[in-house]
Amino acid sequence: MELLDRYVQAVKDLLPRPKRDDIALEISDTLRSEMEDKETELGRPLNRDEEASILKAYGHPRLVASRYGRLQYLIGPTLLPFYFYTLRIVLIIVVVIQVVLGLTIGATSNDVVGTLLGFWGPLWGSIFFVIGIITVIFALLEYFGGRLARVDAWNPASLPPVQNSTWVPRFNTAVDLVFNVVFVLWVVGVVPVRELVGYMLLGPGMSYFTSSPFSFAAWWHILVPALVVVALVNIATDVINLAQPQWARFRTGVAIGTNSILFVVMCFLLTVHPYVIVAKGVAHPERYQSSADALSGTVFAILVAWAIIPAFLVVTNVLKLRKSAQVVAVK
Amino acid sequence: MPADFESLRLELRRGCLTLAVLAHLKTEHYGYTLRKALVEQGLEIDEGTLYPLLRRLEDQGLLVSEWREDNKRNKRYYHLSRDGRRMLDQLVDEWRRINASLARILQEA
Repeated sequence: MELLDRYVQAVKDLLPRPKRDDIALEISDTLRSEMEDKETELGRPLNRDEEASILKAYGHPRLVASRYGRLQYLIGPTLLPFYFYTLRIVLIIVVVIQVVLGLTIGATSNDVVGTLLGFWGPLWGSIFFVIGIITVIFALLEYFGGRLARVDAWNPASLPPVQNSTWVPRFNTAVDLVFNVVFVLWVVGVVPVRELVGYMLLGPGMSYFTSSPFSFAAWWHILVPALVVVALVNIATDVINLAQPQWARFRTGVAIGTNSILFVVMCFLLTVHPYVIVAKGVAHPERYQSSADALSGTVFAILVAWAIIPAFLVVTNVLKLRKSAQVVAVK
Repeated sequence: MPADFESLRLELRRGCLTLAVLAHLKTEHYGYTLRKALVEQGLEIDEGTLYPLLRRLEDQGLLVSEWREDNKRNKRYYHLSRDGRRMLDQLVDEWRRINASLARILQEA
């Protein structure tokens, strides 16, 4: 029975302290009874392998002991949905704050890329820290039998409206918000952001672009404010959407407005020639004129395509708005 | 992903085991003989399930236990408490209701 004693000792070490001796004694008695029954059946004492086989069938000491533990899981099924909900909200907030902070500091730094790369590590650190803290809080709530007040004190009237397919998830809105903020910073000429975006798009080729003998004509000064206005409207819409993601008709209305502005601007720009001119101060400008004309043709084609997209979006959003109005009317 | 039979079977058995254990402990048993009695009546239950279940039922006040010497060895004997008897009666009524409903449902199916 030496194996049995070793087994019971192994289980005992892992048992909850208050009833450790009691439970170990009971396990020991059960196993002895089982072994004695087996010996009676065989008519001889058990050998070591047979003893081991009975112990093995009883289960791994850790598994056996864990069944006597009060807590079988870190966060139980009651709290788990609230855990994931809290985690998602807090992570979105942390990521948005970190990204905005990184861009703000990066915008005032000489080494934009280095500054932003320096934020990459702390961002992951923050994410893991937040996950850890929230997990510990929920595990403690679970352990001490606590229940979130809202589990019991919820009110059906406070539930959000029925979600439809036009509901944009907050995460997508947050990503869109960051993109629009970066875009505005880039367009209004926050130099480090412009350098960073340029570097991300063109890499080392950006130096060729900046030393180009060409420049955009006056139309560029019409397009830029229009794009900034649209981006600012989108930022405001994103902020509202973060708070009220169910305001689908409002968002559709805004999309119709911003795409209409873009469509009108693009149509106007299609009448303005040329798009690319030889930069001032370039020696022998006549050498570059034919290239500038060719580039103007390319820009014209791009603007045509660019005009089609907002027109398409205006039409689809108007149809969407009409459909949702019909649904509301039916209800 | 289709559910596997084993996990659904375990789910189905969980409540039945509690009822069977309470019913058997109208008369006194210690763990080993209780398990043997359940197995002999066709209800397989491993020790890893039975003993923690006995502890839980005792913590809930449905069982009482005491150590007594038997065949020169100490054994822990369990039996129903007064609350346990009341609970067993309620559970048996509930079981009969469920069983009758299920019989009707399965017959229709």
